[in-house]
Order: sequence, then structure tokens, then C-alpha cells
Amino acid sequence: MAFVNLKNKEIQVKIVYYGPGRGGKTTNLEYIYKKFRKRINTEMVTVKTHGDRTLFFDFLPFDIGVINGYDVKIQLYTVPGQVKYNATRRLVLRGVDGIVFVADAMAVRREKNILSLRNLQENLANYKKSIFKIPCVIQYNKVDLLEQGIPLLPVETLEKDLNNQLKRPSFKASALTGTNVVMTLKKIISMTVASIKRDLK
Amino acid sequence: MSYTLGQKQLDSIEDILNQDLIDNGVRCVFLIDMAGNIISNLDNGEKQHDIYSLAALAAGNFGAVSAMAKIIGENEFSLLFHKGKKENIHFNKITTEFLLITIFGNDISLGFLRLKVADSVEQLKTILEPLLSL
Amino acid sequence: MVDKNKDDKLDSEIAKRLDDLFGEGDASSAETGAIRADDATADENKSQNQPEQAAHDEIFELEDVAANKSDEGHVAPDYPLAELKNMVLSIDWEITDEVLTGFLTQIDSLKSTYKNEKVILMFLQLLGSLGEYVKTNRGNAHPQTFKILNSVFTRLEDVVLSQDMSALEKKKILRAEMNKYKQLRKQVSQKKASAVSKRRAETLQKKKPISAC
Repeated sequence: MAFVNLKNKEIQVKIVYYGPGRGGKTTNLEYIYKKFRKRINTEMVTVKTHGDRTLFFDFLPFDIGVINGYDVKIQLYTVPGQVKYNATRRLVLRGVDGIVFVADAMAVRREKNILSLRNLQENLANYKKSIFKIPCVIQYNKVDLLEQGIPLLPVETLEKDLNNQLKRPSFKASALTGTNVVMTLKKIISMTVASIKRDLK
Repeated sequence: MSYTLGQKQLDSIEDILNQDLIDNGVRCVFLIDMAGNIISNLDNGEKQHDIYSLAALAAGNFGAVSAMAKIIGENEFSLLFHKGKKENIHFNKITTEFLLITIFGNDISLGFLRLKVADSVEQLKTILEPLLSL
Repeated sequence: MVDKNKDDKLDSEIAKRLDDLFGEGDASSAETGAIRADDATADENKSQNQPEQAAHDEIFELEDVAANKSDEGHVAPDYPLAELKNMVLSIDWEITDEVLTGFLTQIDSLKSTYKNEKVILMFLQLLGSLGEYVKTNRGNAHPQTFKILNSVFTRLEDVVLSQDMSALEKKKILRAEMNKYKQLRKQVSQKKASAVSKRRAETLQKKKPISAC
């Protein structure tokens, strides 16, 4: 639920990184934060377990500047991916404007990706939102593991499993090395801001 | 889905928060929605907090506590308040979509703050309720 | 047609802003690029039926915590100020008519208990006065009221609980609290006076004829 402040001429936009546990959601944000912290001049908040797994959420806010006369403030969130944290995922999804689905390209995670996407759909439905309507970008993460000889799912399989009906923009990526992390982010921001502007008309 | 607040509405909100809370010694007050967006924030000029992070965490915290209430069979808790050595924080729901968060020191009693917050909430409801029908 | 141009303009403005902020991104993005670049929202008819309920919810079993019905106070049950202490603590947390009425009733009851002890009686009168003020003014009470109420009660406790405090010492403590109370009264009347003069000034301002430019 984007908030438009006519007094300060500001729009606040919420984008959530969703996906199975250990898929790379937090790593995406950490990469963005590390690489651009001087430019975006902001702090990242993380609420995690001792084992370094997201417990509540990660949060990274930043300003992308003025677009069409409005100062656009982006708020990136990740959700905890472990199955047991569904109630928390639902909380974090509240008021979401755009989603990045971070799928784990490892062959062994195939089923987890599908379950997580279904879980996303259910949790969105809880807020009467449709996964088919909300701005969404899909990221197939961990492509860097190919070099290490770890079996990855072919893109065609991932597309068929996860994007066959949604037909959303998708990217092969490596959150660890940064490949396509920014491309993913730029795409979701574009789509989300455009969607909000259309909504306001 | 998005919502908008105009200059007049935001000015009215600021007036209410200033008169009822800041002028009565509250250090910092912010009005947010349940997604963590900040609608209005005021402070007494003493200390600047990272309000963006506070807002995100406050929304999450309130959401988590509300979910816990439901699990234990309560519709909601009537008091969400954290006491610190010097600073305290109080949460109050306004309709189902908004949260009023106040940060105050030990010079204000919680009982008094709750009275003032209740007053503010009544006034803020008239501005915020129409947004819910959108 | 115009709308489409407007949308394209918006898209390019967003793209430019993001490029400025994030540069060209990473060098390696050039190699892989997007798998699917455009966004075709699927036909709604083909959409999956929303499942009834998430299958992954764990069931929580909460232990029954036996309610602790014992006295919340930290003092012996026959402590004469126990009930008043509960009231004072309650006021700190929540100010309701019920609590305030209970507080004032307690004060009256204690006044008869201590009718022969002048100093304690004075303390009780102070507390009673503060309680009446809060009851009447509620949210409009001066914020300092509660601090002083707590202070007066704490000092009253000191006096009541002390075994060997001299009459002089007790009077000294009372005097200090009375001064705080008088300070508060002064602040309250100053606040009232300034509110009245502010209202008067605003009224005069409204009555002022509009001067010709």
C-alpha cells in the first residue's frame, strides 16, 4: 500500500524479497547495501538468529530521488524463508507494492521453490492481493555455483516451474557476486513505481 | 493500491500531535501505517532517531504482538508499551490500518500519556477513517 | 495514445534515475542479462484457484500458566498503606474514574485511621487534593502532577514505615512536599492565566476590523 504525501511531495514504496530459506534474499540486500551505501546513505536493519538466519526481516530504505515531481522512497524488506516463520512472512507482506521472488537455482531446492511460491500466493490472498496482479520479478539465484560443479536446475525448468503462468521478468543471478542483483532491483522498482502511478490515476 | 493525504490533512495531523503530545513533554511521536510507511513524525528537537527503521520495526512488532494475541484467544491487547531506563515507547492502534507511536522519558507518567494518546486518537480517527473506504 | 507517451516518459525517467543511482550495475550483468525482459500478466482465467489454507502452519500448544492471585504488593498484608499503594501504582499505568474514586475513598478511610497524627493527616490531605485535581481535569491536568503525587506518596511511606524518625524530621519531609505542591499550583495557575490571555488575544484579533490596504 504505497503512501503518497502531497505535503512533502513524497511516495513511499514497499518491495519485499520473498523465497525459500537460504535462497539469497538477505544476500541480495547485503550486496546492494555494501555496494551503494555511500550513494544511498542509509543503514540496513537486520533481525536475525544466532545462526545468521533471518528471524523477522531485513530492511533497507533509500531515496531514489525525484520522479515526476515526487520524491520516491523505496523500502526493501526480506522475509524469513524457513517454513516455520510463515506468520512472520505474512506480517512483513502487509502493504507490499512489489515483490522479488528469489528462487534457489540448486537442483536439490526445486520443490522448495515451488512450495515457497505457492506460500507467497496464499499469503498475498490473505490481504486480498493476487500474485497475478502485483508487480513481480523472479530471480534465479546462485548461478555462481555452476563453476563449483554443483548441479543447478536449467533455466527452462525454473521458468516452467515458477514462471509459466506468471510470465514475469526473470533474471539469472548471483547475489554473492552481485550478478544481476542491481538489474533485478532496477526492474522491480520501475515496475512498482509505474504501477503505483497508474493506480493513482 | 495506494492512498494519499493532502497538505490540509497532514497539517491537521501535525497540529493534533503537537498540541496533545509534543507540547506535553513527549519526545517523539510518529504516525505510521501497518506497512511501515511514515505518515507524520514530530519530535521536540532534542534527539533525532532513525525513524525509518523505527517505523518498520514498530509495524512489525505491533503485527507480531497482534498475531500472538489472536493465538492466545485475545482479540487484541489493550496496552503495548516498552519501558526503558530513560526512554519508553508506547503503541496505539488507530482503526485497523494505522499506528501511533510515542517515545517519552520518565518525566511523563504512562497513565497520563495514555490519556493524551486516547485524546489524539479520537481526533486523528476523523481524518484517517475516510481513507479506509478507498 | 497520449497516455502511452506519458507512460514511456515515466519509464525513461525512472530508468535514468536508477541508472544515476546504481550506475550500469555490475559488469557481469552484460553477460547474462534477463531471461524474460517483459512483463505479460497472465490471463486471469488461467489463474490457479487459491488454495484453502496454507498447509505449513505449525500447531502451537501453550502451557496453562496458573493465574497468580496473590497480592501484587511487596509489603505485608497488614501494612496500612497497601491498598493506597496499589491505587497509586494503578494511576501510574492507567487513569480511570474507577481508580481515582478508589484512590479518594482510600484517602478518606486512612484519614480516620490517622486522625490523631497531624503530619500523616497533612500528607493525606495533599494526596487527596492532587487526586481531586486529576479527577476533575484528567487529560488537562498538568503533566508534573503525577510526579508529585508519586513523590508525596513515597515520602508518606517513609514516614509511616520509619521506626525512629523524629517529629522534626517528619515535619521537614512534609514541608518539602508541600513546597513541591505549592510550586505545582503556581504552575497550574500560570498555565491557566496564559491560556485565558491567549484566548482573549485571539478573540480581539477576530473582532479587529479589516484595515483598508
